[in-house]
Parts: sequence; C-alpha cells; structure tokens
Amino acid sequence: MLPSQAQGVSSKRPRTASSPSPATPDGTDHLSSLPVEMIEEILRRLPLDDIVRTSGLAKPWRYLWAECPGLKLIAEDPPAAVDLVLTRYACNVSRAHLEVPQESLGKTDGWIRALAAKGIRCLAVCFNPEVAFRLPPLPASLFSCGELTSLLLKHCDIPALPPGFDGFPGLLELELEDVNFGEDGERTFEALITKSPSLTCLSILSPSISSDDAEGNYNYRQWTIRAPNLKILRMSAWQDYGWSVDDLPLIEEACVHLEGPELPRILPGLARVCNLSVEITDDSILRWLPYFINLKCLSLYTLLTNSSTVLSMFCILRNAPILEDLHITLVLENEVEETIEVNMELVLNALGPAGRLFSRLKYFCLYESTGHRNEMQFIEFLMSKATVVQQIEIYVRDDGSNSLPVVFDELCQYKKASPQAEVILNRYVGCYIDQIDDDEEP
Amino acid sequence: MASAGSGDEKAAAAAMITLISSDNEKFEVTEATATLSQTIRHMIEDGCTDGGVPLPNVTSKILARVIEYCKKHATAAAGEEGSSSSFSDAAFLEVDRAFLEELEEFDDAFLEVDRATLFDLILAANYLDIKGLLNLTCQKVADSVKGKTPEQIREMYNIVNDLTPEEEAEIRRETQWAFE
Repeated sequence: MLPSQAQGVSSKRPRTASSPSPATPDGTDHLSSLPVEMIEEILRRLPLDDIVRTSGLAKPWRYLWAECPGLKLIAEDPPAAVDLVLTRYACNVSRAHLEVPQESLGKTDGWIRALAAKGIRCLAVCFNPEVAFRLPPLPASLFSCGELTSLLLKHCDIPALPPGFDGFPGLLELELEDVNFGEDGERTFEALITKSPSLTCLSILSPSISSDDAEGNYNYRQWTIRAPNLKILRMSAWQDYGWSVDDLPLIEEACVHLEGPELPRILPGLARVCNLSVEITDDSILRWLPYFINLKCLSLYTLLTNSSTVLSMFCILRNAPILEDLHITLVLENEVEETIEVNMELVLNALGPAGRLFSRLKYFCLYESTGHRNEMQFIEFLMSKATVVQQIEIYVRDDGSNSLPVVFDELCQYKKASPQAEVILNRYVGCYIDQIDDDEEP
Repeated sequence: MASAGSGDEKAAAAAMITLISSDNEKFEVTEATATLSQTIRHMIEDGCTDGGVPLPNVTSKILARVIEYCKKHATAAAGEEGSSSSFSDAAFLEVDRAFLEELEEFDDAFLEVDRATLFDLILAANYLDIKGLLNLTCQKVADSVKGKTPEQIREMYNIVNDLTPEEEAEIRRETQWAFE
C-alpha cells in the first residue's frame, strides 16, 4: 500500500468514540488484557486517589498499583494516602513532597522512616507555619535518608545530628526555609553542610539558631560554610548567626541578603562568583575584599545616603574589574537618615587608585531613585567614568526629593564618557511605567 | 549502504523504507517518518531493512494509523528544525506556536477512535517504541478513568468484578479517603 492510501484509511476513521463511549460491543476487557507495563504507563499518569481506587476493580487489580514503579507522593495527597502507599507500595519512592498538617505531626517520623527504606531521593518536608510559637520538630529519622539528592525543609526545628550520621554524600540541592537549629545549632548547621560534600545549590532562607544563653543574649559561636562543589548560594537572614563562608572554588551565582554585620566574613569566600546580588545596609565597612575576578553582573540593595554603605559599595566596585551589569536598588531606611552629602571623588581618593572603575560597564540601572543629591552625584560620577556603557536606566520615585523633570534636566547636564550611552528615565510607581527617552540629548 | 556514486534514483530509494504489516500489506515511508519508531531506527542502524521490515504484531489497519501519526509528527519536527534558522526569534515563536496548535488539533482528532483501536494503538506504540504515540494513547485512557468510581470504570471497560463482598468492603475501608 502506498502512503497516499494510508491517508485514505484515516479519512474514514470512525468518529463515534470520543469519551465517554459505550463499552466495546464484543465485551472484551481491553484494559485488563494490556501487558502490565502498559497498565503501569497509564497508572503513572493518574493522581494517587485514582490510582488507589483501581484496587476495587477486580481481583487482579487489587495490588497491581502497589507494584507499579515510579509513583510519586505529592503535596496534595492526604495523610491517609501517604499512609497507605507507604505500607502497601512495594517499589521505591524516588520523589515525595509532604505537606504535614498539624494533626499528622505524629506520623511524620514513620513516613520518613518508610521513605528512607524506599530509597527516597528528592524529598520535601513542609510543616504548617501557622502552628503557634514553636516550630514543630523534624524527626531525626530524616538523617537516615542516605540516598537523598535534593532536600527541602520548611518551617521546622532541626534536631542535633545523630552520632553515627554518615552525611548525605549524594545531596546536590539543599533548601532550608524558616528552620530553627536548636541547642548547639551552629555545630549542627555547619556539620549538615560539611557532611553534604556534593552540594551544588544551597538556599538558606530566614533560618534561626536558638540562643543557649539563659538571658536571651545572642552570642553565636563562629562557624563556617564549607561546600567545595557549590555553584549557587542563596542566603537571607535577619541577623548574624556567626557564619562565614570558606572559599567556594566553583561558585557561579550568589544572592546574599543579610542584615547583620557578617558580610566581611561571607564575601571573601565568593571571590569567583559571576553573578552576585548583595544587600549592603550595615555600617561595617567592607575593607578587606578579594578581587571578584569573574564578577560580571552585580545587584546591590543599599542606600547612598550613608557614608559607610557608600564606602562599602565602592569597595566592591573597585574590586570588580570585569563588571558589565550593575543594578542598584535603593532601600528605605527607617532610622534617622544621615543626609550627608557624599562626594564620590573624595570617597574614591580615600580608597586609593581606581583607574579601571567601570571600565567594562555596559549597563547601569538605578531603581527607586528619589533624585537625592547623592544619587545624582553617583550617576554623574558613573557617567563620567564608564567609557563603554551602552544604557543607563533610572527609575524615579514619585515621592522623591526631586521630581522627574528636575532629574531629567540635571541628567542632561552630565558629561558622558561613553558617546553611545543611552539614558532612559522612568517613573517608579510600585511598578514601572512612563518611559521618557532622552535620545535627543546632545 | 549506498555507494558514493549512486544516482538520484538510488539515493531517493535508500531514504524510503518498506514496512510490512502482519496481514502482509506493504507501506512505503520515508526514513524520517519510520525513525520516529525507535524499534525501526535500531533496525536501520543495524542495516537489516533490505527487503522491507516485517512487523508481525501490527495489522495493516493499525499500521496505517501509526504511519499517519508518524508522518505528521515527522513533518512537524522537520519544520521546527528548518524554521529555527530562517526566522527571527519572534517569527520563530509564532511559527512554533502555530505548529504546536496544529499538532495538538491533529492529536485530538487522531484519538477519536473506538476503544479496540485505541488499545491496539497502545500495543503498537509500545512494540514500535514510539514515545509520543504511547504517551498520547496512555494519557487518553488515563483521562477516561480519572475521577471515576470502580463501578463506572468496570462498566466502561467490561471488567468483570470477581471480588467477594468481604474483599470489596475491605478495599473500601482501606481507600476510604480516595472516595471523599
């Protein structure tokens, strides 16, 4: 038969059987007659409750699902489903995302033990954040899941590591969100990371470490994040937990939003980062920084009305010789603003020679500008130094000290070291609107 | 394999593959169409397609449908490859979307078959190892049982209930949550 004839067959195809269709007239049980692997293909495409309901079809179906490899436990599955699967299911579970409701707290340990026995690899355990003051305890059985490659823990209290803990040798991704490390938490935190030597991605969001001081004074012991294979690091915290970062030879991307004074202990480990986002709001000046030899894209969250943060910012910029993209987002400080004027040239002279500052910069963006004198001075300074910059974008707040037209007029006065630089001014009103392009500027 | 000096005719012939159904019908298809099947791809790689590829597990009726599917999806794959170099990104995305929509419509229409044919297609897709077709047909069956009670599924697929009332009660108890 020729291909054209094959198409002829298709044009005559019956159009009656769109689902739900009546049973095949000859009464054949097509579904049960499929090879088991095909039935499993079908089961894997169903939600867990549908899968389990098939046990009620007929005798051969009763435990068919329980032998079907590749089923996943996901957040929507009710605790009863997790119970049943973990007692009846004969195969390994490679992925499970458990949302633990308050009433199932007591079951968590059993679940995690069962998952450890089933060779769990990707595991997320998220407790209910609205449960009172104390975070629920994470069962220590978690440390018996030796085959983990990815682990997310959310809203829980992490116990001390059991004495014989061998670590998570294959763990690539670790994400900790709103977790507390209890007594001797610094050591647990440090050991958890050190004993996961394969880690490529580490996220630590709003952690805490219980204070062991009876008077509630926070006196954290110094400890170190050691992760020789880490490529991505995300840290955000309200206070300094005594941590520092050891040299990360493979680091590519880091997002460090810390409100404490620990940056001088964190940034040196990130010397090889390509893409860095960092918050500089603390008064401790970043005097001793490495050269960020690979840093191409830098996002700063800072304020330009405080001489310490301005100094720190220049310390980073001065040490970023190949920087191409610079994003600065101005943050509002609730405390009394130090409205001193910062003379950029003076700051730099104080810092020493800065001949190559901005020499590779292609793009600069300032978000949430208020048009404050210091901001304008910084822009003017940048424009006079950046010889190859292509685009400068400023987002001006409506409630700033200078209105958009004033900022615009002033920008037009500035000397541009880069003739092709395009300056774009936008209104910032929570979202970005109203673009004014000053291309006509001479 | 074809020698370097072969003429146009021979080269064109080399790119065609003959598939032979269980009831001995011959289907001539391009290599691009045929190699959507991993099974046939391996046969081609091993050089054992001379004189046609016998497919003793697939009837002519089903093979014709499978070929129809493979032709459509092979064209789509080739089209995507071709357009990526000749269009700008935006235009390419446009073309891409149109392709996908057309393909989706084709797949929907393709699945409008009776149950027996659907299950034969699953078996053929499995035997010929055509990932896309297997996914499409298995998903169709999965969708048909989603949200259904065992009674409804039994009726739909002529499944004979051989469970004792005691067993049924026990299963109900065990899976109560799945019925809530």
